[in-house]
Amino acid sequence: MRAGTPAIVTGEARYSGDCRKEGMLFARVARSPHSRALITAVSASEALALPGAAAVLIASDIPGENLIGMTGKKHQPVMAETDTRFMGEAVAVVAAETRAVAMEAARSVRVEYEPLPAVHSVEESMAPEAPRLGPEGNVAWQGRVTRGDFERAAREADVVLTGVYRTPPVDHAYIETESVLAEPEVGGMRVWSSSKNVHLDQREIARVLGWPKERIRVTAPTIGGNFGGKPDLPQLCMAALLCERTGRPVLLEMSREESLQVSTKRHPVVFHMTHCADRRGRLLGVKMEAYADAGAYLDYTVPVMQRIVIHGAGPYRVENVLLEGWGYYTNNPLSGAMRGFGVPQVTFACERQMDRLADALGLDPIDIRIMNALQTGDRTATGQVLESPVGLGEALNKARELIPAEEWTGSQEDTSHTGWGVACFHYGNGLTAMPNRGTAVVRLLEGGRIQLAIGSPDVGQGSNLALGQLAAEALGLEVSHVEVLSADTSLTPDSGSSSGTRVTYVVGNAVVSAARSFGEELAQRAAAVLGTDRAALSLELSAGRPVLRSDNFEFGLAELYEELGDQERPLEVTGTFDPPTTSLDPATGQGAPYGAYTFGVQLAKVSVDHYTGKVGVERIVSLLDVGTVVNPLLLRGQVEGGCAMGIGYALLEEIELQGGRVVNDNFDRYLLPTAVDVCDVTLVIIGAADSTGPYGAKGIGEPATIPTAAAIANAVSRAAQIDVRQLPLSLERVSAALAEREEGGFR
Amino acid sequence: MAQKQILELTVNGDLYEIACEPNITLLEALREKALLTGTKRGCDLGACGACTVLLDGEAVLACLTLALEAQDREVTTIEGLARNGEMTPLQQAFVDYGAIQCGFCSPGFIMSATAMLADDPSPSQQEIRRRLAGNLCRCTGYAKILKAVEAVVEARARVSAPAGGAL
Ligand code: FES
Ligand code: FES
Repeated sequence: MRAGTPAIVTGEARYSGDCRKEGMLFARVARSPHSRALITAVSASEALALPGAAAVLIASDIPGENLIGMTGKKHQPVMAETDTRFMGEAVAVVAAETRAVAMEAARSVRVEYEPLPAVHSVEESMAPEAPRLGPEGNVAWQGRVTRGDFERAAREADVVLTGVYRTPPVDHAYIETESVLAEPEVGGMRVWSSSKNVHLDQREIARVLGWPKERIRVTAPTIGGNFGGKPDLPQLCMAALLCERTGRPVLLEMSREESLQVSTKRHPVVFHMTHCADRRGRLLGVKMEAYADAGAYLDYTVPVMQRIVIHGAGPYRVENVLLEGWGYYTNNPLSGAMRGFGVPQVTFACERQMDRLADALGLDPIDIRIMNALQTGDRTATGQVLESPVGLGEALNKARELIPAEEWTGSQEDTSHTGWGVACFHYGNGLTAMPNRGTAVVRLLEGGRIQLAIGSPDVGQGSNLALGQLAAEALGLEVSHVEVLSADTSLTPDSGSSSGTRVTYVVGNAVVSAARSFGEELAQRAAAVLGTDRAALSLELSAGRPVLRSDNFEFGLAELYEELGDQERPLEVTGTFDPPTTSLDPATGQGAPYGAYTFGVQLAKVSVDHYTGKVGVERIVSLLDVGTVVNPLLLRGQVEGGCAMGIGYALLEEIELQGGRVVNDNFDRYLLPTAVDVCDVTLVIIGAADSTGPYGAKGIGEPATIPTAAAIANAVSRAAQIDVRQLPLSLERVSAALAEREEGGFR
Repeated sequence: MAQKQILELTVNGDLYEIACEPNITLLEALREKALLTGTKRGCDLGACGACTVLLDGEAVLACLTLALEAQDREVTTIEGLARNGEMTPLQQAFVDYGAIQCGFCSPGFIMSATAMLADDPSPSQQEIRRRLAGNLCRCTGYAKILKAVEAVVEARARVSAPAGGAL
């Protein structure tokens, strides 16, 4: 559910690929067929000579800077100029009267390449003889979080357990591929982008065009899914470049094959974990070395790796941690931001370790987690004191009550085993260890309408509705009295991105603050107009209509609007919120990176077929501490969708790369969970209001998917008595493990 | 390039004369020529179901169907379901049950489910799952979509049971 659903079910909603404009050109990108090569010559003349071809642009045609990035790191070119670094990287872009001509023209751009040796894994990138890929070598990022003395903890521990875990690259696989429409407007340009941050889009386009950003207006139409992956910045900028060059509207779409080849992926990571505990199962120390494939350019590897090291010990109280991470450049497609920002990966590694530790000590997997779970007042791995209520322990206790012990251990049938698995997680809301202010504007419009304007797009999760509810609550009105407008650089303030589980928590706080000040402002203006005392007036509903009421009269908002002077209209109030965070100490990673954390426990029941290795997920129970629930239906939608994505991550999905080429580049071979692969999800809400969230609310977008794969991996390990170290749990991988188990004898 | 020809398509009861190459797909004809963009393209390969439309009442994938094959037949798209602004019970249920997040998959699901219910007015839960397994949704995890369809099936059963009597 989201605002505007009727238009969606009648087919009227416009997504960016649905817009058609007078005189519109179709664009197509000419892409590198090499993972790594020098560009020695480019010729556009043949392409330009085709009847119907309107423009061909290459890197040297870019009037501004040919460097872009979703984060502070502007490292990737819009189009490669001297060399290409991953397969499918843009080299030229063409616009033509029809799609067919555009396709033909893109094929006719002549590019001469001198292929260079390419690097396709972290291991290859680390090798001393590896070609140098990045400006400072092949390490794209390194960092650590350290506290206490891990080595001493390891010496004093009763058990030291190590393990290596691997996670695959996967795609966001939004069903709408990336598309952008750019059209000329008087004095500038209008761009339609299915983005998570239109204000960032505007700044990036402006730098590339060399224009002041005010000349560019970016609007998000209805967005067909995002999950961290849109926009594709090179595509966005190429559409704008073509529009500037031709003076005509330009539509640049990606095919599914292009999208799977060139869009960013979830970071594949190899984890080396060491857990130290005493005999009773109390964690004494955790050490992690995480090696991630950054792909060809840096960008999102910075915040993803930061998240991985920060969350590297799991949601547990551990005095001694040494959590280190490295991102390595390769010539694979870029790794980027995908729902969970590295935390689904690290949760898989941590939670397998916790289960193995429980097994080694003969403990129950829930008991060992209860014993170590972070509680209110504890310090996290970065030394941050958790001052808001932490519902993790309660969630674990509840989990135990829900599943009877005899069901927990599972059953062995002739052809299959069943069993339960558990995983815990925590997730910092908002961007990591940096200011990330949310801004909201509330306006009084003609007719007494109240408008809430926020820059962060509704990417399908329903944020417009949830934020409208928060505004209505703060105003003491119904949500139907608040019109929500989002994601338009001309009409909405820069609220930052719809990512990092920051919308409810960060932007929501800004909305509440704006709405409260707006209510106050209305009362003051009305008092001035009426010549009464402010204190005598309050904003209330009368016959379903918002009015300012005193003891003996009502004053409607439409009337108030009419009484305002011209310069006072529209009456508008801005609210902001920046979460209370600190930067992290560069040497130790200590600090307070987030203002709030979402906590949770997930239980998964699986069946594993002996013969085929097929894993079925039969039930999921998700116990969440999200603070106050803003909208139960939206929350449930996030959890159900997140679980399905987690099932895909656990069982089905893996981008298969051969020499940098995505082999499974459409949905016939890149398999997503369907309606027959998902199961019932029981949702249990735990915990108390957060002390910093809007009305105590915390975010759910990313946490929804974080623990699922880990819980399934633990369930499969338990049910089939195998030791899962790698995702996905494909038929081949599970049946190989079952065969190995048979050979090695039953455990 | 192939010779253009004039194709006559009846979509949602309206006649469209489309000048096009003979090999274009129904999906292209609908989206690019008839400008009915409610039918979505997710894969162009028959693997996602986003382009599902009805051809003489039967669900087909428009990306795998030639526009030519649809001549002299009745094409129904998502735009053709609501009559005089009134949504079908399925459309309404998708809204009421929160079966929509980004909504990109919704037209395809609604068309598939419409065809399924025309075929079999009382499918079991398992059948609903199976018959909708050709439609991908990345957002909802399917639960609310299945619920919306089940709700329509149940509502119909309530209406028809007393009249039919014999169940
Ligand atoms: S677009 Fe036709 S099935 Fe995907
Ligand atoms: S609602 Fe987004 S793909 Fe189904």
